[in-house]
Amino acid sequence: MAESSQEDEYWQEYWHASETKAFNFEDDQFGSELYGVPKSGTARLSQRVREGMGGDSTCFSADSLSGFLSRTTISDSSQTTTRPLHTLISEKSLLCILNAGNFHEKEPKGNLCPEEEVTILRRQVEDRWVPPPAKDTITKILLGHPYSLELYRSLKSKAELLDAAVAVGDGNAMLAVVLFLVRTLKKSYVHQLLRTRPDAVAQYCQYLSTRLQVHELTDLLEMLGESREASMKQFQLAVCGTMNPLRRLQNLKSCLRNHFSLPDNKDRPLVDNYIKLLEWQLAMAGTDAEVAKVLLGQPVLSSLAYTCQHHWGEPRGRLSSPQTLSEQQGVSDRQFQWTVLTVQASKQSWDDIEKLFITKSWMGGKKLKAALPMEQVVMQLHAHGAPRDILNKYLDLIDNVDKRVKLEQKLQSNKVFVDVNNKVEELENLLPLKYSIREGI
Amino acid sequence: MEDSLESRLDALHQISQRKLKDILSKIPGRKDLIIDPVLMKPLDCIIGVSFLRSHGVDNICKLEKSGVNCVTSEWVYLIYSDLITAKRICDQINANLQKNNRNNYHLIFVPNDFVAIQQLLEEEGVHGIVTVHTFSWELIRLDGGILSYELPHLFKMLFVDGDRSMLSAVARSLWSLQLLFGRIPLTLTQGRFSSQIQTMVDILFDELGSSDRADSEISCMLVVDRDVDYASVLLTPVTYVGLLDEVFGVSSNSIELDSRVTGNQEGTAKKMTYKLSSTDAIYNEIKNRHFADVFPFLSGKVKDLHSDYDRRHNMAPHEMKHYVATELQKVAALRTSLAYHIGACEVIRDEMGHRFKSLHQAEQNMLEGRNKRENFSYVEECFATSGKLASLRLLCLLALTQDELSADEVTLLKTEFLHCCGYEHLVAFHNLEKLGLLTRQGTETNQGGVFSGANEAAGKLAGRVAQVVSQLPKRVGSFQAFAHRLKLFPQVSDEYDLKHPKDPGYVFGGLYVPVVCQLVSLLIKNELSPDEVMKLGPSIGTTSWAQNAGKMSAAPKSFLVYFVGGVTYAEIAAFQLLEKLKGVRILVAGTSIINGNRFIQSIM
Repeated sequence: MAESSQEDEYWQEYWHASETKAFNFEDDQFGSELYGVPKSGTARLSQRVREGMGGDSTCFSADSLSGFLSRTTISDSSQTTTRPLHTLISEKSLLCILNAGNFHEKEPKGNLCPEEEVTILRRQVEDRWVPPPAKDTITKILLGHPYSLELYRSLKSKAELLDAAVAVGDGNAMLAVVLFLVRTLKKSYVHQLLRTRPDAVAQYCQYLSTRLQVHELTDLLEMLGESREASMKQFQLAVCGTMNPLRRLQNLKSCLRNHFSLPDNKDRPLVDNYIKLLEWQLAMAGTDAEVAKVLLGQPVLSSLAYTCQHHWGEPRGRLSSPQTLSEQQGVSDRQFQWTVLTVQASKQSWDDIEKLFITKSWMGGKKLKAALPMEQVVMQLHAHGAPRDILNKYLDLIDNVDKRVKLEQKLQSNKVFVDVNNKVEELENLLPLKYSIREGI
Repeated sequence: MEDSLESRLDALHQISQRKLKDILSKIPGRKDLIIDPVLMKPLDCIIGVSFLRSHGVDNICKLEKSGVNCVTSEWVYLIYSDLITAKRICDQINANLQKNNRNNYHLIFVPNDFVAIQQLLEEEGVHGIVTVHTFSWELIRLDGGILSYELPHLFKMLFVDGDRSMLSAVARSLWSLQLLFGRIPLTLTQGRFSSQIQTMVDILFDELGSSDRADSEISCMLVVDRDVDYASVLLTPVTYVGLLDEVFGVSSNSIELDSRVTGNQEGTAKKMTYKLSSTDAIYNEIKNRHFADVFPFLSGKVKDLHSDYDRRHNMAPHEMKHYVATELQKVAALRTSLAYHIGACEVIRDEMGHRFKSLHQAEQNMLEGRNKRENFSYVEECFATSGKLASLRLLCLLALTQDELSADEVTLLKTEFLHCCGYEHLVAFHNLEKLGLLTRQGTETNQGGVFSGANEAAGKLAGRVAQVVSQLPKRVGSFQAFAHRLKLFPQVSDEYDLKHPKDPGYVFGGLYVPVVCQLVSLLIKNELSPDEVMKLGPSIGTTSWAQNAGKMSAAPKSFLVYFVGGVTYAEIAAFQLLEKLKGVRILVAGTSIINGNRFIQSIM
């Protein structure tokens, strides 16, 4: 039987592989063998399992809501047999949970004679115009029971109410009280009460921000000395408010003027650069809809990549030159080099890359001016299919022999093997390399 | 074998069902149910289509911006209590009223009804026109002893925005859980939100009633704020389900499998939802295994399957008949399960494999506070090679673990990130500062300010750590000092076998033991009093403990650990290992299941 012998062979191969490599989660043989099994092995394995599986063998649940609405299949293997509720919880506890959401007037304990009941009722009527203790009202809010705040008319009682809400820590109660204060007090008093109660402020700010009540929010934050928080909220609104780059630019400009004006604001340069970037993008796009489509709204590095792609070699100082954009935005050397490297490698412009990293000094010597680790450069070149001699040039620039050998292994090149063999005494370093070379060929 | 503790959890979804049933039966006649899409997955854990049908729901549809297509005159909206969603519904109702349509409108809020929403309804003129209901569901049992309240937005609400409106709902879920199990005699909290929740739970017991059970099946409850341990969120897990969550994103314990896994070539857009459940024997075996150990296990199972196949070929007809009747279905299910898990493994390997080793190394260096220069440039490298989420996540870990990171260095990383991903993410950095994750502890926190509230814990930690540092070798950062004090770095020796873990730190490849897991482990040891154990935690000043039923002499044997702001699958695996090693029971609950990616998403 040809098939079964093939199968045997497969399992042999498979077990051999999985035993020797049983536990090397951390082995990174450049993505080919990972997590204990060779990739080809797992692919074949899953292929085999899927074969002949058919569609009918699965247990699909037709009852699922998300499946029903998105018309996807749901596989649900869980067949649960649940015990009936009454064996799990007592009737009293169950009713207690179910009734927790509903409001019931608290019934007085025990039987009352009519006189007592009259006394209680009379007291209730008399107390109608006296505010109940703040704590009781807050508890009502917490429980979701009906309540009224109208009786808390004195400033003192309002403060007590707010304190009680803060003490319990229920955001809903806090907001209920703050909204009541805003309705019944003049602004300066509201601010005075809030000043010392940060939890309530946070709760109220979140509400204002969700309701887009920007003026009140900014007022409050400025009053509390939280100008940074205020400026961030404004920035967020300026950016999220619109997708249109022109509108966004206008928003940002007024935001910068009004809220990032303090010289010590550390985010000011960033917002400033954001404005410059949008202006640059709009200028670059001009009336060209195609350019606008690819450029507008892109981050700095994508914009830089665009200039490297289309305007490489233009003189410094011209608007479209990569250097101009990079200097304007203060792009780090590292990111500049990485972007240029990626673009030029994709264009296979190896000479431009060399110019980027290696300068010839006037004495005729070569000088390396790389802000990137050379390993990364080599990897990126390799990813874009750089020819062997180019790769070797950069491999030679890696000073650390260990790192060079490791990288060499990854790239499965023989060049360094010979080269290093003469320099390094520790042969055991090279054993895995030998092995991989033997296998690789 | 399920013990009574776990089987009692069955009650939770039955109570939730009952609550929803009560609401639906208050609305007479045939009705349309319009569901908030984000509620769909959690609802799947509680109810099904047939449940809704049997309670008068004729038509089920998703809440969409485009509008509604209702077939009956009873419009029932089921949504999270969220102002923006409520506003959208007001608009839909008003649009419908404009057309002179006379329908009845109902709003069901999960989990609570808020003053802010009531005010909105009033302002929009629909107060009195819509009937408002509250569906405060119970904790949702995702699998085994894992519970979630499924409030994924809660982390941001609390820790970034300081919005506490959901805390009372969280408190209520803990109250009803204790009505089910009996009031838990020992309650410990870590963090400011946890202690406020505890205050509310006490009020609920006073006002709404207590359990009639004499004693509780759970001996100790630990409620903790998520900011007690950010490292466990940021680190990359090595367990199977942890990595599934990283790569596929698990939601309500189910994952979406695409053609990469299902192998369906025709109709490539078709996705499949796969429910992760421990009743699936394969999943149950591999969920908490170290990833490198999963594949060998799966291949063993495939081998068994093949020998079974061979056996079938040699069967006599009557044997075959018996086989078809008894085993065939089981084998087919096993085969399907194997195929999906193998497929999922492949995708995980392809997505994570190329960078796992270097990532793991960088995480180790950061945790131990070594090779600062190298870590820094690794993060920079990530900006170019990995996505936004992965980059920012590593940046957070760097800032969390290296307290000598200077303001200039932070600014450099911030600028590089914004250059790479767009200036609009400036807000994300502001949010991280609010979490106390970016600023150097103690230097940039403006004490007393409203929005430095989140930094309080960090500042306290720094202060506390300062005392400890003096006793330790020089040049140890405050994170490292804290980790040493709680023994969070496992002693890794030759015997440290990730395949047969003896230590919860295996969930991060032997790098780090989750803080809360270590606290529970100390409680089990019972060498220190619960009070002393809590003082070891980072949130000094906001810890509390309360004992309700006399003095406890024996060490607690069953725990409920509740994470306010979400729990990770790595932590769950760590607790499940602890259960096995110490012979105790630990139910793990959270306001949601969180991971590093969702954490970063929530602050962006």
